[in-house]
Amino acid sequence: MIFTDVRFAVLLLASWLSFFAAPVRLRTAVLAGWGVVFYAIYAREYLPLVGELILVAYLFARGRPDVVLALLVAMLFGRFKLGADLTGLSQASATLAPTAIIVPLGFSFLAFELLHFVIEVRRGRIARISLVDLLAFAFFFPCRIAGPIKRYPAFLEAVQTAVPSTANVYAGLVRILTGLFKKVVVADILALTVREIEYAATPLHLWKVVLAYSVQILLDFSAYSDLAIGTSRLLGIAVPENFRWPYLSPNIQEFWNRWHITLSSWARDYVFTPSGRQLFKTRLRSSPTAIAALSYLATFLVIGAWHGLTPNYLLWGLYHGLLLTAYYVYRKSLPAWVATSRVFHSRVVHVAGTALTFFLVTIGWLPFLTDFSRTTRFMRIMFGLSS
Amino acid sequence: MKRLSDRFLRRLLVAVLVLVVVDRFVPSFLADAERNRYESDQLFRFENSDLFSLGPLVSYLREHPRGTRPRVAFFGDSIIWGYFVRPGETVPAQFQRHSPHVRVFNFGINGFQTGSAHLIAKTIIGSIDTAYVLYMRNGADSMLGSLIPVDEQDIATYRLTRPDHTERRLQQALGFWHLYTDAYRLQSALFGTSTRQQFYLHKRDLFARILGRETGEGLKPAETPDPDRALRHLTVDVGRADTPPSEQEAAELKGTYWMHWKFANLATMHKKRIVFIELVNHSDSMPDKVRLAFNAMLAPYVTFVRVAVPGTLTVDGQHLSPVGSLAFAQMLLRDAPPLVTDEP
Repeated sequence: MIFTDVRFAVLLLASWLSFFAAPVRLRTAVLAGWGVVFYAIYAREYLPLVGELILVAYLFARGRPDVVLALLVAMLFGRFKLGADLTGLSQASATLAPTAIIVPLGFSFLAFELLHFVIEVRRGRIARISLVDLLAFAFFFPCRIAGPIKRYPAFLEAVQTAVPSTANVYAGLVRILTGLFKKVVVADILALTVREIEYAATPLHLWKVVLAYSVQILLDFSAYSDLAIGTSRLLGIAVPENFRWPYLSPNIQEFWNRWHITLSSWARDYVFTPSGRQLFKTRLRSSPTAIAALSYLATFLVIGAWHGLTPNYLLWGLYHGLLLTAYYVYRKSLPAWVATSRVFHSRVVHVAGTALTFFLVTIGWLPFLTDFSRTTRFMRIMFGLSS
Repeated sequence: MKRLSDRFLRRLLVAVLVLVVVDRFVPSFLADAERNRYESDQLFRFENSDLFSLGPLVSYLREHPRGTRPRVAFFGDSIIWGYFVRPGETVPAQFQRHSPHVRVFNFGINGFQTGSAHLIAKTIIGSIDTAYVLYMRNGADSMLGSLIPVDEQDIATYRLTRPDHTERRLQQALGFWHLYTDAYRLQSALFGTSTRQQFYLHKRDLFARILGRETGEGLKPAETPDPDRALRHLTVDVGRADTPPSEQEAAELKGTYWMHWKFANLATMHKKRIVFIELVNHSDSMPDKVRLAFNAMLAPYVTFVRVAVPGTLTVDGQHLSPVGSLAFAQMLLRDAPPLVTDEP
């Protein structure tokens, strides 16, 4: 694990010292530099490609698509006519199996951050842009592996206002230790049970494995967020929280307010809301349910595809889109006297809702565990529809 | 704010102090744990048949080239490790039981190949006296590059993962922090595997122990109604050619069977004993003529043995049953005994 490497600790110490020693106006340059060093250490072969993606995002934000096009033509010319690969893709692909897709380290997170940047600039919400600031944002190494997905204005402000303090160091270390405990002590042991999926064949065994996975995926992912947030906190930089006790959610909508918060808020801002607005301009405006359904489905298909462009991730996305649509319809059709009653807001109903949400989310993890064909087979076994 | 900062600073200092104090005891604790695991009569094999404890064991053997008894190492796959049988019923365990004057190490790992055995033997040949190698394909596990010392030629020959020298050097620089640098060795010495694997494998036992109930695999070997009869059912061939091959023939053999030759050379160069075991219908087979020729060329340090085990002595047609393991061990003691003195 990168966070437990001595090399990473040395990198962090060096970046901490130089970050606070440098004048405030040079902090982004320092972070950009250390981010490049991080990539050079852990994913050297992808560094040219990532650098070029960031440059493309910068040029698009600057309203210079013509320069982008010229660069792309130059790269293709260089590649196919001169044999010069400026993307580094051929070097990267040399280390992979022939059928593997080239994906730089933390690419999904980087892609969404760059899209956010470009969109916000084009919307006029980010006025001052500089390449160095963008490099610092994109290459910020604590969040480069597995998020959280940051927002550009908040990140820059955090960088400018960061202070070295014992409180930050202490809080950062505690958060890092929490993440390490969750990952190494609990999640990795559960992973051994999850591996039993290779030979699990009875309903009880499959349920045990799926439940173990449900807990493992939360602890694993939230541990990486803890490590990223704790490492950033050492630098005095606050990055967004990513998990807030998601399995205690009383309904599926609340679940998505607590699970991978930065991803769901990104999807809300750049997929759900814009698609809803566009659909409202069409004939569907008289059917808010249809608008909500289509927006949820589009959003969660994007989220599913973000995890991986394979049938099982798309199935998972579709499943959650349908769950949210069903919840929307349920809330809309609930009579007002029920929705405001004391029973509806009682502890019993809350606990029942939490249990049902946990159950629905847990069975939804099956596509993450195995491929599409085995997902359907295991589902049938788990629900007693097959031996 | 200053009070808060002071409190955090105090907590940080206390944590560092505790770590420093605990760290002082780690080397002696580790030494005791390793002595108990590697030099005592405790049966030894890799828990869960994984590579986790391989690096720590190799490190220990290299740091302690002489043990309290001559050392015998068994290399092989799940058959040597003892799939389907209890730890006390494996071939190495039965061998140990019948020759208490040596210390036996079961290096068996599921899916192990002979290239892996060769790489490991290279690093510890100075620390063992005899090696029994169940011969398989020539390949090696690519992870070995990061677990044991390997050279550039080995990395190229076996396509090993290149070791991370930078990280290794940085870890060595942290050598003063024993709890960090010896974490793997501690776990291997205490559990024979990682802590989490130990917990996962024995979670029922752990809970039972906490509740005060005795459980355990029971290391007593199974009853063997007639071990000598089982031994008679094994077909063993340890012959050698009457005359060694000519120079030209020898050169051809060395070229065709380069792996065997490289491995066998370890024994002759270091005056150790290696016994290569070809298990019929399991190992890559070697023509009789070649085996007899090698035995003539490499005696007395190296012996190639061919063994045929009947299905009645196996669990699934391949993996030895407890009776089969005992017969196998007895066969080795009779037909290819270990080296127990400095001179063969």
